[in-house]
Amino acid sequence: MLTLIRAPGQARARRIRVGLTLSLLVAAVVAPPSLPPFLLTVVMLSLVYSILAMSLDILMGYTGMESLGQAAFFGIGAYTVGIVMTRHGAASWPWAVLLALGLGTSSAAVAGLLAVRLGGLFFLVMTLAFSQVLWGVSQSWDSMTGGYLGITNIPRPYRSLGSDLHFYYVALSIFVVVVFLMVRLVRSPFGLSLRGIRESESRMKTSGFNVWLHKYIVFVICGFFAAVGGVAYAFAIQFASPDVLSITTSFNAMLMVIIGGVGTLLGPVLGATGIVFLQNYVSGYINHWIILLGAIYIAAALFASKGVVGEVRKWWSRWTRRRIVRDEEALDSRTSWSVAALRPAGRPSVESTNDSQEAAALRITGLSKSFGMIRAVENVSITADVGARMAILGPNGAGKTTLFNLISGLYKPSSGDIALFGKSMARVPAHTRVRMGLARTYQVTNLYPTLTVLDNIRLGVLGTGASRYALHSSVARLGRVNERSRELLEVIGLWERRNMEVRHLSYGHQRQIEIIMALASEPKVLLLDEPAAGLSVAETRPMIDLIRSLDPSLTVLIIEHDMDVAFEVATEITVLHNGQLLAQGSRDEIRANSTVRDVYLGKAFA
Amino acid sequence: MQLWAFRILDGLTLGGLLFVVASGFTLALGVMKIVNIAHGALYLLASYIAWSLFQHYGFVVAIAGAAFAAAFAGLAIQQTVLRRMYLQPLPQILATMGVALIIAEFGVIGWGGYPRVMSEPSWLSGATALPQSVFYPTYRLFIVGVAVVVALFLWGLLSKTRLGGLVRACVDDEEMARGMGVNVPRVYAGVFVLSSFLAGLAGGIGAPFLGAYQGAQFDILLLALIVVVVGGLGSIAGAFVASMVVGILDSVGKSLFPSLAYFTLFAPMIIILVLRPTGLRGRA
Repeated sequence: MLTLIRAPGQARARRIRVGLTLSLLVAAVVAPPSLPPFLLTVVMLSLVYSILAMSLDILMGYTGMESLGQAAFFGIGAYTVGIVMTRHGAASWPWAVLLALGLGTSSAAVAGLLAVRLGGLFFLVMTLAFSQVLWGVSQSWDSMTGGYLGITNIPRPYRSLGSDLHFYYVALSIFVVVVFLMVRLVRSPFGLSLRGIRESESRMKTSGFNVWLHKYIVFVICGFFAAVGGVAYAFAIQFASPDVLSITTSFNAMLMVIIGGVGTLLGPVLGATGIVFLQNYVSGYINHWIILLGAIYIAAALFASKGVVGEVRKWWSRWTRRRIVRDEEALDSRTSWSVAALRPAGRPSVESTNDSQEAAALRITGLSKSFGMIRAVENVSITADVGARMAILGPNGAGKTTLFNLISGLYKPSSGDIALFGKSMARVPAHTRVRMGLARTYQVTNLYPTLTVLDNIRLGVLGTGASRYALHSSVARLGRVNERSRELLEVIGLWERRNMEVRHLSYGHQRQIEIIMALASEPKVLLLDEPAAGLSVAETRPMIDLIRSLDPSLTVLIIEHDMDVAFEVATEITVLHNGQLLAQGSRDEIRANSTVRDVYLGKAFA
Repeated sequence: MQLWAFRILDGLTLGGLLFVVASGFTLALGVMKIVNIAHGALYLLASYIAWSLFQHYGFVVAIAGAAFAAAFAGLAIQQTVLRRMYLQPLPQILATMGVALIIAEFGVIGWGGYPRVMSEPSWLSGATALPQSVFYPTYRLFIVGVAVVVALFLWGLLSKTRLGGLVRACVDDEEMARGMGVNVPRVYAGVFVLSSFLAGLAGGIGAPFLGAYQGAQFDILLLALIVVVVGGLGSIAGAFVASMVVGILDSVGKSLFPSLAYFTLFAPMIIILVLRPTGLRGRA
């Protein structure tokens, strides 16, 4: 399986990466005894700040949550160790460490409850405010924190660790363990889900992921890692002052990530090392180092979009003459879709289950949605039986996509009910609806643009799978998920392009991935929002064939502007106009309906 | 009873000063989506400048000079840096952090590391008699007065003038405003200059009250942030109410629990956010 998943061209890069990592590790173990003491301290600080910067990058680079307060959890870790160790002595270190990690993690759990549900600017401002308040507390709570002066002479656990050289190896071990855990996290199914959230939250929701919970969990995990960094800091420097939780520390961590390379684990380490070395060496030579630091901030904001790692990658791919291959192929007119693969193996077909016989697959009753004064959908009732093929027609602004957003749970209805196989789901969140058997596609292609084709499909499969929260296993080794992804990609003939980023695929192929990704969750009811939108006449044919080859027991609702597609694919037709139901019936009834003709179809279809 | 009156009045004084700073901060945030980390540094710079000008030219020149200097600095920041990272929150935040560090360090170079407290002008020193035979420092009442004038001015500007209409159009739908022929870059530059001017005005009138000291750049930023989070991002009216609430809580909290002053600020912020995630007057 592994060799199938990995592209052959990546093997060389991988060998180089492993070689570099090992030689760096050997250097980190062998070199320190011969280093001058000050340099050793600087190296130790680099390791500590690397942990903080990596914890921030998992949030901002991987998940797309830009936190301005990561130093809060780092500082809690450092202060807790400082307070416990100075009061209870060296022997209390296990309690100090446990309490520090516990407090760091639980304060991330509290801050997360407040901040994670907020998007964009609100999240930035909340995390900043949270850490600034802790900074204020550390300054004013003299009896506990020592105020402005902070806590000095924090003892290390054992007398033998008193020497910086000995403690350096402890710090190095902590660093190595943290990197190992983070690499596991990033490669796990949960790690993949984080990148999916970065690329498209709405697609993740309608693939079955509880986006809020994933973001909350990763926020707490990163708070834990930052606290680990803080613990290492307190023992390494034996000092904790308000500076460790200040806005400056949070921002420096962000600067490290951006200079080194957002969305990688190596980048933050490089950035942290660079900034720590500058800070400790350059500040000795020039009087106002802060002005230089300020200039670095401005320069990073202006120029460092991908950071050092991004630049090296660009340079590397130019050097090895690997070009991004773009797929500009139109859909081929092949009609022999391997239909069988679209029917999930092992799932009983819907007709044979008992509970579905009484209830319609999808029943919408009196559904309304208003945006302020605008009634986008008004009192719409639709019933689709198991295996139905229903087209939703209507002019622009008729409320078709709003209807789909209501059914899939992206919008909350103002009134009315939606039931799937007799179970009401109007109050159920979008991701739960996917697990109840609902899936949808989008009119405007909504994929994960910078993830590979394979990762896109894997996320589709993972959304309803139990392993979506798995932190320990690697995605590449999930047998069932990968097999299913391969089956699905082979249906549309894109398995060979599995390692391309989806944004480099041709538009026609992206439209097919939309549908395949929806099918990956093994739905019983499928909503297709203009699947043929933007396709050429020649490309529309294979799209129609793909839709026609879907499992007959699957209930399909399709919004379509192209009448040929609609009349060819659907047997029942519902027409919306100004948010209201205009007509419902079979193809012929709708063709004969004079109101529909006037409003929408025109005379050609009479 | 009199003690409580003093605490409330102290709170209103701090709240007034906070409003002048925070209204500028929330204006840049609401209109241009800029979290201006350098806002507190502009305040600090203005305080230093006011202190220097006051030595030779008197109070009015000191305040005006401070406010216009900050406005000019804001214009420079906007034209050289922020213009290049339009609607990109993260680069804007990093760049304004860099600016904040540089401004504060120039403060150290120009005015030294220790606090500079400006004297009150003679015509505003002393105390004023209030009802119930409460005597309260005149200068502090002056700060509250300035806050009220600024609030009225901003309200009038935003809701009654053509300029305000342009600003509101840019907040609502920047693309549409652009399409209708509004010179959006110029509106943005104007709003940022106004925002910086308000930071400078606050720095000027705050110079005799809080003084200019290293650390003020982030203290003020924190208070402005809390005000904006409680009041709602971009809302001037919300900022006014929140400033007064934060000011009173800070003054009462500091006298009741001196070592936990920031908790007394943070607790109400949490409560408000749990009840109304977008703040008192915020929009989703």
